[in-house]
Amino acid sequence: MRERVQAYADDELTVEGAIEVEAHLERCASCRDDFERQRSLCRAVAELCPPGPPPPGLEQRVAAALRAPRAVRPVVVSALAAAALGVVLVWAVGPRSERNLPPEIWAALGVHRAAARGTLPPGLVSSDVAEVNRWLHGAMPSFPDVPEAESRGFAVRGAAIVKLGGERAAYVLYQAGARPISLFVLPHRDWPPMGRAARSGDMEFRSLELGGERIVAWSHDPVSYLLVSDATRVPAEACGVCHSNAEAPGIGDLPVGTPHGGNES
Amino acid sequence: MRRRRAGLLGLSQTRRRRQRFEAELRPHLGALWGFACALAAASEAPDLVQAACLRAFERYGAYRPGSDFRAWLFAIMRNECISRWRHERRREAVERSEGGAVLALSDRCPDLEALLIQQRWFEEVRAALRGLLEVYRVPVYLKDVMGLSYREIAEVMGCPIGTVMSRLARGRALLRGALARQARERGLLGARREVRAVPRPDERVVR
Repeated sequence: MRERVQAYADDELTVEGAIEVEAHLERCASCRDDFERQRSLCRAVAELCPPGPPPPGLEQRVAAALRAPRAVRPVVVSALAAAALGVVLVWAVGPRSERNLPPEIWAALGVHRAAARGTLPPGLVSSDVAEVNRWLHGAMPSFPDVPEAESRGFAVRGAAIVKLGGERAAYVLYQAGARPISLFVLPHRDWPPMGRAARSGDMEFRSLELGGERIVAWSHDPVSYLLVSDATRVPAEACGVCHSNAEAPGIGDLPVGTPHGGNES
Repeated sequence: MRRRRAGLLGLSQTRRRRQRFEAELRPHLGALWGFACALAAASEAPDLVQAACLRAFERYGAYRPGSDFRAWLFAIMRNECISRWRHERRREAVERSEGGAVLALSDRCPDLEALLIQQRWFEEVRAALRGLLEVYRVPVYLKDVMGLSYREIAEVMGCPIGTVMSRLARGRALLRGALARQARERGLLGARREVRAVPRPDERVVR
């Protein structure tokens, strides 16, 4: 009965249960004392121990933390893991020429596909180019600024630091209409022969199609770049993230090749 | 193309999801703050609130709409707090609190609560509550201060309702015992019989 008295004092009983306990309390002085004591203690605690108001700024602090990238990390990690698994599977069953591609290409493709599904790697979600540049400079001081692209129809969507081939790379996600475009900036490397090559000045661009995406790789000291999109006319539809028409790389309609270098029919 | 459009929509969906979470969280921030103060030192409470909110957002997909959002948040905060304690290796056994004297509810001490209110023992009650082991402090706080139901407390603590009731009864008795002891030490109450707390073997808990 003691438990029922406790539940009664805590207002946890049904009407029938409460009526039953009340009848018992009328004839049991011991339980009545228990009941009175519990109720007065609860009242005293509630009166003397009220929860204080939260400190000023707590809500803003929490909101800022929620906007920071680590709030979605588990989702991102699982999505990236799935993307990585997909890439590994493609690699495992893909043609030999694809297997010889540098790991950075596969990693970039995985990140791009995850972003296309709406899962940005941990980083910054922002459409402000200046904010993206500031954030990337903080994370990777050697990162070259990305120019404003909105006027050319390319909206910045976010940035992150990702691992490509075991090295840190800056990643910027753009959106042109409904099309996602991924730009990766990584430490300088000489890209191996792959896809089709085109030159502009002293820069060589390598372009290939992989899993339905067009990938362009080039280097310009002290960094190298990867541009991933589904653009069919890469210079006009993807290079515009950094170049206006007048400043286009001058490589015309960049020929897109298969990974081993054959022409795309 | 459809897949990509859906993907990019996903980015704004993430934003909408966060906005929905924030809107749902906002009315409970005060309660979370109070619970954080009951679980941890005031200096650690802001960090605890932030960590619990982040964890809750991470798990927001697992939250069942229509279920008790506040109890769900409290459970996450409590787990976060316990994880921190474990991480800091500040795990203590209940045996270390053997000094706590239980004033059984059946013991006579009729004037205690009136005395607490009369003496305005705000700090004393808070200190006595903080002095309880976590397994007793949480149900007492959630029931007597926050007004949660047994079912909600059971959800927060991840235990059956019967366990909540027994811990609640024991926690209140410990709290009452601690306050009565203080009152006697200050000469405000006459000497009473005390019953030593006997730890249960299965109650190895964090403090």
